[in-house]
Amino acid sequence: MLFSVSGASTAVELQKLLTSLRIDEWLAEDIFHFKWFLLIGAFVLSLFIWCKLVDKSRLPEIILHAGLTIIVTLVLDEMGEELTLWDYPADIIAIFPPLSSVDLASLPMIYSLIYQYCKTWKSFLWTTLIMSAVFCFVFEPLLVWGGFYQLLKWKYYYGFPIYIMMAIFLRWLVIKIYAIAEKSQKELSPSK
Amino acid sequence: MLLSVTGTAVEVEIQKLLTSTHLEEWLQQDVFHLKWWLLLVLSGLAIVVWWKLLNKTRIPEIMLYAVLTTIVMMSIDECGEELILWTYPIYLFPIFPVITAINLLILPLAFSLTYQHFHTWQSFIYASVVITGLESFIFEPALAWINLYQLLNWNYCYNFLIYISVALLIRWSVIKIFAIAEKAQKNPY
Repeated sequence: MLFSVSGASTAVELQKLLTSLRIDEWLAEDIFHFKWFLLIGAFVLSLFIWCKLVDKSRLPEIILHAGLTIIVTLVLDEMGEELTLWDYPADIIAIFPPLSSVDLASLPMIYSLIYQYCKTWKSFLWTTLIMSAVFCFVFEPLLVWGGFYQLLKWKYYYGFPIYIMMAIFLRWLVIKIYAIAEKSQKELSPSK
Repeated sequence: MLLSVTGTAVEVEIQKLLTSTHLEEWLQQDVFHLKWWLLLVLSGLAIVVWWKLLNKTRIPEIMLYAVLTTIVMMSIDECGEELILWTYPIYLFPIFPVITAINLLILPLAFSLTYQHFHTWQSFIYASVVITGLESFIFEPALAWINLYQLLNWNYCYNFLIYISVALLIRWSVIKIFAIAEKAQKNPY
């Protein structure tokens, strides 16, 4: 019991140290610097493009897809950061770094637009393949070069199958959700 | 530049240490222990009950509500844990523990069902106050009492205010999203 109490406080003390370090660094090197404004610009721009391109008549469906993408992206990003597979050296806000990472600015918007435009599995798979390749081998090296992202125990091509599987899973999930709704609506009104 | 490199490196080292502490503690004290099973059963039960009560014909709408709530609550929960406002002494899963926290699971499930059942603002607000009250003043203190949740620099009233604000904000958002879609369907350019 005593061990458990001291054990728990070790983790809390370490977390305290980590957070204060992050905040110090953020105050000294991130906030109001050029990269920081660039990141905010990336978020605003992607939101703007998304709002322009999104099919408003299908808004609930596209936002459901984007929301699920956000959850998956946040979870994977945070797990990778906790396992020190990668790191985000520049943050808009000091805490919960994945929340303000470029991944979150770009992935949900791109994924949900691909979902919106590609109505068949075939076109969807081809587009996803190209997007994942661009992401892993062009976009991510650029981010590393710009100092927004840092690979620790990771390789660019590890992400490639993950991006593809994520896209397939999310499309399958949203289609499934709508299929369940349609099926139960039919069961309720069999006369139609 | 040198400072930035070393600063980041120190941060990464501490993160490594923190994660290995979480993992070690989890392996030694959490996983397969009684409280861990309790958490697992509670979480499974919550999902099953939610699925049973869910109005399947409106599942995209209810899921949208649940998904948006999850995003907001997950962010708040993780920020609070990083700022040492609260902590979870027993983890269901040691990496990104917040996503498997029981009170994080309960909120989207409970609020999305509230959203499903109450169609007016007035009834929704009353129901949310009751549910948030139960969550913040009964369920969470009970979790804290059996040492599954621990407030450090925080109190239950703050949670109450946050939860109720999130519930109202998300309801407003979902209604707005559907209103925009309806308007767009009526006037296709």
